[in-house]
Amino acid sequence: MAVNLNTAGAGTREERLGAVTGYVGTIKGLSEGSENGTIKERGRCFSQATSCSNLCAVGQLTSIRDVAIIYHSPSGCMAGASRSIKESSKVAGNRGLTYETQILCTDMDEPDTIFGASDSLYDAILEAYNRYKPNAIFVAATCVSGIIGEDLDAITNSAAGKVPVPVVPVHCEGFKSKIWASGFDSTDHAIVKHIVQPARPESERNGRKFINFKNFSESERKVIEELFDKFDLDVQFLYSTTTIEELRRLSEAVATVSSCSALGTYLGTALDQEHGVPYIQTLNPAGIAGYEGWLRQIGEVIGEQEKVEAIIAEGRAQWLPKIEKVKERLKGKKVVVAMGSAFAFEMSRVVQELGMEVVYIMSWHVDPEYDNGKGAERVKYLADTNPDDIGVTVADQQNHELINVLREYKPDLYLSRHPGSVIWAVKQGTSALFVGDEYTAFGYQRLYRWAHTIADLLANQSFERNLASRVSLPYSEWWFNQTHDALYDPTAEDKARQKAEKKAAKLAQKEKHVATLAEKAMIAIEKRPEFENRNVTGTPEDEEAAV
Amino acid sequence: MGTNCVEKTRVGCAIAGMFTAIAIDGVLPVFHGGAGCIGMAEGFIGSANGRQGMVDYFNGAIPSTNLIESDVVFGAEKKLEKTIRTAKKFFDTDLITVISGCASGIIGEDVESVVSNFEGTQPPVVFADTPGFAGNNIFGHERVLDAIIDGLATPVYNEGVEINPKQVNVFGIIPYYDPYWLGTYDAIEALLAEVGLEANVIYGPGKGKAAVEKIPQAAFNLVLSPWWDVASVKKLEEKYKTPYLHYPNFPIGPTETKRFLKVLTEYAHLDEAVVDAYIKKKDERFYYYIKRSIDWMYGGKNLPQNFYALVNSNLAVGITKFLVNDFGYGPQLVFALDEPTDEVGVAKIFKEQLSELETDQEIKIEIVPDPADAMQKVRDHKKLHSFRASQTIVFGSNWDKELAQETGSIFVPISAPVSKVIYARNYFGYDGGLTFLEDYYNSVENIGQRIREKEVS
Repeated sequence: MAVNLNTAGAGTREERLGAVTGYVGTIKGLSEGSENGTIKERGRCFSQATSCSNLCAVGQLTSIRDVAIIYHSPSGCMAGASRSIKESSKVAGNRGLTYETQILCTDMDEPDTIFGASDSLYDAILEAYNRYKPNAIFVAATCVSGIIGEDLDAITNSAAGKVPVPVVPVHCEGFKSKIWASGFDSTDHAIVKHIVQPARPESERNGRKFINFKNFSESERKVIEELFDKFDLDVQFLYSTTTIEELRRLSEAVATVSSCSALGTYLGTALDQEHGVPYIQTLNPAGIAGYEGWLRQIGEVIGEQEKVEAIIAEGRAQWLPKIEKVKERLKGKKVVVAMGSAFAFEMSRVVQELGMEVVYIMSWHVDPEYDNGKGAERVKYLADTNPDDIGVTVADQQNHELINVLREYKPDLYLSRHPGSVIWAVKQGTSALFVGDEYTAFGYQRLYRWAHTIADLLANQSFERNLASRVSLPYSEWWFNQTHDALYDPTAEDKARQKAEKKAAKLAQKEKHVATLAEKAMIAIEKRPEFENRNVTGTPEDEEAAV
Repeated sequence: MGTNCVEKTRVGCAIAGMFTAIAIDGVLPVFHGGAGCIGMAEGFIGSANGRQGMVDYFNGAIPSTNLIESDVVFGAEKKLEKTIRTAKKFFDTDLITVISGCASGIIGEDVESVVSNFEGTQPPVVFADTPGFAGNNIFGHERVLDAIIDGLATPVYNEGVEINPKQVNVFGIIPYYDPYWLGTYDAIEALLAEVGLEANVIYGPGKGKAAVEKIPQAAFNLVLSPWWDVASVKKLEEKYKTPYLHYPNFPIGPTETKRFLKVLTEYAHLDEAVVDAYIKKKDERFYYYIKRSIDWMYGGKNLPQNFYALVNSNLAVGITKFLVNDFGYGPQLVFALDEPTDEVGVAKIFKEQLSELETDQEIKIEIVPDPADAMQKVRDHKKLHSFRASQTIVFGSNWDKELAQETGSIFVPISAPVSKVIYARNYFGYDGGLTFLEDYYNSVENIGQRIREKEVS
């Protein structure tokens, strides 16, 4: 298993990893199916609006400093840009850095969809350079550019000769993949293929050695920097607040780690494969098992096992007694966890570490394996540590399924990493926590703090109660009476069973029909005068003849 | 298109017209297009604009065909039909509005015929063709509004319909896109009640189907905007023979609200004594507050009065007339960035409206397709005219924060996308004028420290 940097784009997770967005079963079934490659996509006959690769790809690009991003699309695709720019400039501002990234759009109209808009894109690339002098120009593909067949590689190639900075196509067309996380890979592919340079000899480098750290929000930057400082390493957080110059040097890192295995897979594997930077794939550093396992593997790769053990011993001594104490407040609480394909399982593990009961897991998609060919530890870990098994649905944020899962399992707490999803629990009177920060349970201290947050939340349900009594959900009674997976397409087994049942029913009908015919025939025969005096109880041969 | 690229846009694409359906109680949008489109539109017009969510069908509940590669190759009309059929079972709703996106438009889906299969069924299903490449969110709003009126009100003129001589259907404020929409409609409703009319507003809680059904019974339709909704009321005139009053400004503050009430009085034959009493009462109340803060306004603080505006058409005319006619402020450059469809016609309206300004300064509202051009003009203007560093204001959107900083201006975000939390507050009429001033004055207070520092350095 490897990634292919010779292709224009990263391809989709469906193709590369066998990822799916439709599955109903249990954690053990999912684990076994992932190992032996039998997880199959289950379609639905009904779906609700979700997200797309383009959103994820551009979300990552926007966090890079001082670049230009051009949407090759009608203006609507860039509609969320003001929000991303605002967020990214805030993160940069927190570090005291300037942030000059600009988002432009070719504003395709109806004639463009017929005659193409290559010239517009070419001009927009030059215009972006003239207006802002960015350090790189990224061109993001969209549904429209993809469907009408715009040749982004050719256009960016020819424009690249006219401006002194890299012009990089990012193949993240929304309609190509059901899995929006494919967009993360599109960006990683573009960065490694077009920006990252071969490592310079050590003698030509200056500064400390560093480790690549792929994450979303860098909210624990300070803590993580202090942690790696103990190993005499700098941390190159990706991609927020990075510069193009920093990205060129990713090949010189001692290793790549990530806060999230689903986020880090493509970049980690690509840097490993192309530049020999080891990729450390572990459980996410959330909760005790995750944090310790993550640290230990890092220690192994960089040869700092002793220091790692000391950090763990110190942390345990200081925090575990406190965590044990707060667990009393959480004991026996029932939780539904619904998140992306890594966090859903990682946070379920953390919830169990805190003494709560995970009653159901929803994952927005599932990657049965990662780009380096390694299986998904997070699912296996849960399968191995839960002899009683847990129900699992994989659904790309399908709201109707979530509603019925919550009604069926009636948890005390609903945890999700998507705010639009959280509100549906609150509307039904269930306490919910938005786990937007990927570092919510990072290390012992954050875990301790989070445990208190949950306990405090569960101590008062006044808002949930007040709101629920004033909300009527838009769904019909009909749906509330269905199981949450009622609208899935049948599985192969279901289909075989249905087929067998149909066949049996048909056979039964046929037999009944024949029996009726035979009966009718007998009656007719009995009525014929020449048989009137005959014994009606026929011989076995007679019966056979009638059939 | 004249330009090859746009940036920092103040409009969404046509599918954001979906929010017009969301604003009408009991109307469910069903989207035929890509999985992420609604999320994109929501990012601009919902959460990044007044922090507005959708009340019944929050992001995540809206049925969508989420077109993928195989759909694009083989077509997805069956998928759409299935989605609509299931949605009808799924939701308790009065009307389903099918909204189409770019992908559906480019591959040439015959949505019309899919929708026609549901003719005569309950709830009714209507279709608004809104691919993003065909127009902006205002274009989408018009299509969605027309489709909903067709679906819920009687589609043809009925000779026997009983006209309510007091009923006025109110239009001209686009729900969600104008983050102050609900407060504004409530304020208009309250004002019309004071002068003896019954406003019929179709948006907001408790309105919905009944309000849309009542549209043909109105004595007249009222539009309070230079151009938003004008095409729609013209269609209503054709369809139901309902006349309309187009007041081509969004009235803010005493002078313009009074002017509007005078026009309305004449048009609707209102009781002049009642209207005058209302004007007197509200005018006194308005100036009571001004008098109460006059110490502060003149006491030691040099309040900037020269402003740039990068806003929608309603506010471009509305705030310019308010600040010039009521407060003697000086507009420097004013841009309407909501891409008026009939540029020539709207430019004429702007010109007429600004001819009523009490100033010898020549002021015009420019219509600019790429907001970046407008922003550059502000930078150039500021360089050319050396006001003191603290002497200008930028009325704009989220996008203009840096522009305000660069030009040493006070930043007052008022037009989409504007990411502050907005509930019932609004800028309409007398009270709206006060709210507008609050927003401005509070922005001055917030950066007062920095202004002083700038003056020192």
